[in-house]
Amino acid sequence: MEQPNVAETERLQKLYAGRVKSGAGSEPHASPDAILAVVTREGSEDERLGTLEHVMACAACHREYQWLMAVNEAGVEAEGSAGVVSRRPWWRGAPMAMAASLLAAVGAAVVLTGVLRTTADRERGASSDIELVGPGARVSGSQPITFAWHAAPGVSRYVLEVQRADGSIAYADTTADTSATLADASRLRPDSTYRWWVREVTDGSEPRSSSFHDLRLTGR
Amino acid sequence: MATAPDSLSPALERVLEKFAGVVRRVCWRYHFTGAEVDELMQEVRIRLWHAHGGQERPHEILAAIPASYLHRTALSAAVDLLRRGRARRADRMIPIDDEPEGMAEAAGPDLALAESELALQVERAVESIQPSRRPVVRMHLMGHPREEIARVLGWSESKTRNLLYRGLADVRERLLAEGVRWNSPT
Repeated sequence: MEQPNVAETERLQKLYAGRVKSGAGSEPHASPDAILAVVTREGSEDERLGTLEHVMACAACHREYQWLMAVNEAGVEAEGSAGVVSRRPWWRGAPMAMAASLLAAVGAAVVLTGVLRTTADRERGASSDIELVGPGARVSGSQPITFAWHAAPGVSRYVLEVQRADGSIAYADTTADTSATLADASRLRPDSTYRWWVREVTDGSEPRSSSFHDLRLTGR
Repeated sequence: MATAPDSLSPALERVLEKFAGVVRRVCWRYHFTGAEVDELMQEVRIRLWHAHGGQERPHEILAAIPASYLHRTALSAAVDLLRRGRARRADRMIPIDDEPEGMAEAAGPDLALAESELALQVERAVESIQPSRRPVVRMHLMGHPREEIARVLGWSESKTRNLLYRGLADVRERLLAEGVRWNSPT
């Protein structure tokens, strides 16, 4: 494939970026959460691509993207310098006590009134605000796997996650429906242990979630 | 009972000092000025105090806070700052180099108009290419390196390069069809 001419590309960049930065962006803007999803690679690829396309054509959203990229990169660097390898998103596997602090600290005014939130002991995935329906603990690895759950009041979108034993994400999907199908079950390894759960998509507040359900694929 | 903020402060500051240094350094690379970082770190400080000030032996808890917790607290705070900024319609995060570079202000009116029209042609050309190639091309044209594009999208280097080059070729083809020649004055 022919490599782009450097001078030509630079010219294109100058014209394009100049136009975007001059304020030729369009509304509606991407939400901060959607931009964060791009930065932390959460949610479906289609959604992230859609957000990214707007972000790269809108001066205001591009600044916000850069801001979140900077903060995220700083966090990753800080974790690296502290010898931490895990890059798990903030809500994943965190003790409720820590997550509750994010919810609690809505603003300085609340702090100044001395209203302190008490902490809880329960772990993520131990709640059952969203009730899971299926599949069962053992499924065939040769067929698509459909994950289903009961609707929770007021929830407009759900995130399904299938985690490996170490907590890393094997599969994730975002949907407005109460089911999601993993068409290509080969993305999961047979005879390996997984667990899956569902949480609601929120605007940053504490999401409701299901408990974890075990999942194991039988041989193909 | 919550520990008084004054007595908790040194423990908090010790936790935040190192983290804030990293945040400032990285944000500087991204051309964000000190004011935004100060606001972010204040927000993180408040959240930590709020979360742990009421616990027993908060100094020990704060001293043991992992970097991953600071990371997610900072991200959550950064998103909230964006929301507040939007709500009050005040753009308080102005990158140092935010101003458009060298187009209208450095050129005469005729040249500026020609540049503006050309920029519009570029935008139309980008808009016309395959949707699967557009985000990559837009990122590239906004100056993001290929490595970042691949990382953000979770794509391999080869997939990213493939879509980018094909997308740029599409843009070039469209511009050529409209009579744009790069080696001629605009």
